[in-house]
Amino acid sequence: MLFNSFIFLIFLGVVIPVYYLLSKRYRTWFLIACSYFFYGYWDWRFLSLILVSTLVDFIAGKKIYKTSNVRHKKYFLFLSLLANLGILGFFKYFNFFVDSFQNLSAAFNVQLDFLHLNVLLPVGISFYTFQTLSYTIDVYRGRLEPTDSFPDFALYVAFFPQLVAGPIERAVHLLPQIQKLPVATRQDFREGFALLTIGMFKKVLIGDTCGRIVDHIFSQPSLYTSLELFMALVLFSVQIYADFSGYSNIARGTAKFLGIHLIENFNQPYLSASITEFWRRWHISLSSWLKDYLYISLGGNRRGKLRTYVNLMTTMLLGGLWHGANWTFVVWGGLHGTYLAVHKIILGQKKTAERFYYKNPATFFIFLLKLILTNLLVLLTWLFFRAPNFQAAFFIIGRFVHWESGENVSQIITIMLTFVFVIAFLDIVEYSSSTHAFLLKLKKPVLYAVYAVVWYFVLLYMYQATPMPFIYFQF
Amino acid sequence: MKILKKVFIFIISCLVLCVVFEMFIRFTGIGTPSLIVSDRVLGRVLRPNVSLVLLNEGFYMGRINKYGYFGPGYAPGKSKNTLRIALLGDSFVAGFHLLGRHHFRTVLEKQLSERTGKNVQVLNFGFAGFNFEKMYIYYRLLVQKFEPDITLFFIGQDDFTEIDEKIGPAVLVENQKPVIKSDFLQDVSYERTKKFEFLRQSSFYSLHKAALGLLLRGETIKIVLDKLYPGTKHPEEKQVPLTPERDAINRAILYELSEDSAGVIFVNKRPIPKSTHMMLQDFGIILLDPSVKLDSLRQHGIDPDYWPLARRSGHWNYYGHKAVGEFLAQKLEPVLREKSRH
Repeated sequence: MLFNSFIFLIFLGVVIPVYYLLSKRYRTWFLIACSYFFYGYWDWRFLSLILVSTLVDFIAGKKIYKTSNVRHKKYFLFLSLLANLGILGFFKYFNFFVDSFQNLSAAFNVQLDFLHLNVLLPVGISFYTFQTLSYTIDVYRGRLEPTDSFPDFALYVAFFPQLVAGPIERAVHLLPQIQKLPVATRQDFREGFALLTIGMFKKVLIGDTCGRIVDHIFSQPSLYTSLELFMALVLFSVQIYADFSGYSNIARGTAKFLGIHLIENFNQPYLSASITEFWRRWHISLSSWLKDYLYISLGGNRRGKLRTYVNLMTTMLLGGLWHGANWTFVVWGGLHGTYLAVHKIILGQKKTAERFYYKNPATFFIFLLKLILTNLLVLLTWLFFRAPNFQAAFFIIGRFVHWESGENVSQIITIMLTFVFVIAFLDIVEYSSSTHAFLLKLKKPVLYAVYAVVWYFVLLYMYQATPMPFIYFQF
Repeated sequence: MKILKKVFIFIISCLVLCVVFEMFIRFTGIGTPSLIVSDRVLGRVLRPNVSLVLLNEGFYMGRINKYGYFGPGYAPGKSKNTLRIALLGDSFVAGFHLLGRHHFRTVLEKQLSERTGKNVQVLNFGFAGFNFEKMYIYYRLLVQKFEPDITLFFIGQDDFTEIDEKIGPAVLVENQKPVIKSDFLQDVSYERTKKFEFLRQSSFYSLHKAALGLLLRGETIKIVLDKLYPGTKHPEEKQVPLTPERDAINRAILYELSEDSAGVIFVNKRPIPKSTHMMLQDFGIILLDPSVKLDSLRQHGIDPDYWPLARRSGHWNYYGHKAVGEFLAQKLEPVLREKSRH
């Protein structure tokens, strides 16, 4: 089920009141049923994968905790890794590796076409796999006591607001809330509604509208001029942020209606003055997952400088591959890995500032230059992220090198600047108010006017445009 | 008093936000003001100087020129050594599903200029929803001012039937001749449209109009219930029958056009039945049929009507436009050479 659809709003309108009307002991089961319905609405067959993942990790977690034998602990951890990564590998990467191997073997006249399988990629598989994995790993590392309640764990895995596109929640944070299932306070409802409104605005009126232009241009790049391709790239950077941060806002807002607090997944990433800062603010739940379970497991920065860079690059390459079974994503991760490594070298022992604070015009000017540079570097990586293949990506780069503006220049610039301005404006307001639910800082009559007008336009647009799926659903 | 103050702030805030949203929608191309504006002569014309972004089967970005048609704004009255071709038709000709430079108008203009060595100008008077009668009215009341050497009427079988359009002149048959009547000027609906013309200048309005269209077609329940809606999603479109009155109007127009010395040529936008073919032949009207060229694309595995992103067949796509442009250039070159000799 898509958040940006009427059916979701109806679903939410039914789930929330029924949830509070039910007695507390049925609430967990009710939310599990709702979450499975939410997921099964897309394709009920893949519910079995969630169920398998839930069962394996629930049992593995308990076994790891109970046994004092280190070998047994490792055995059950391995079992969990095998099951989760096996499912992920089969559904997401099997064809990718077969196709890559086939391309290689074709040079030697070996045909492996028969190995290609017609499998559908289950929505959100990378998200819930990583979430359940973090549970078993944390139990193995002794950071978490496993739950004895299967329904609680099942809800932790399948909790519908964040099931298909995160935030990837750690059991340490989410499970205790699920065990208690607190009643949402008045403030939770207020914040939840503000987040839902902002999320819908970002997704429907910014993300989807940018996406429609982007999709057309990226589907046949050879038909477009340099400026049009550049517009598509800029709009994609706006789209992916509006789409994903909008989704996260909606997820957090929805969860708040149920009294659950999900972690923040974005923190104004495009207002970063360095690539390191960008990664502290972009898809926070994934970057912290990769840091904790991959980078640190590889040795982090404890094994010398060279090893640190190798670990960093490995983490970013795998992080790229996590996004999609395509070498273009690996290049995307590789570029970010390179940026981070270079920035680490430049920084030396110094630490990056947490965020910008205005002191004087000179520091602001330097911040602005750094911000533009960071965004240009990130923009280049989005090209590989969005391009369907290398041929298209290099074709577009070629067009940028041999620049040709073509027609409709003022129209293109107006569209680009308006979208960039709106998304930057939202981030600046969010940053200066220090809350994602920044609308609540408004005076009540103004707040209600914002709600009325935003929802009016959101619903009006939703009514006449086919909803676009969230970009991260495919990951 | 406090409540009144709050209500006042609420209303003012709503109004300010609506203005902000109007600007946002317009600047980003999410919505554009209505493309159509009322006109005392033609009933409805394209609004001059409007920039627009349209996303349907494909992607259009461009501007309606100051004379109220698509493409470069060539003024009425042409200079010496210039040859002009006017295009008339419905959305196939208007072509707002791809950029202007990919439109067959551009291909045709470029190729004919190269082939003939003359300054060839192709003017696109395409108007979505037009039928044969409307094309004729446009031709007589507007296109002829631009002095075209050749006028191409793009037709399909559906163009010979009635359309539900009250605002605008109509053709009546008097003494077997077509006569253009402007009775619509006395019509209440024209006056009403004219009165609320200012509303059509807002993008806000066009968003509402599109939504209202869906609402009136009874699509709401399908949109809201999505997969849970049990009915069929795409009901079959009903064919409008050709009435005897309509047939008489068509024949009268065809008769007049066949006697027109300005060089009227018909182009098949979609295969037409044999009977229509024969009718055109009876009137001695030249009919160009690009379907052979389009079929050859299909034989090479390229569907000229298919839009991969929208996942549906529809108007000609980029390949279709290129093929049609090349086909027409090839066919019209000798005609233009003949014209330039005279």
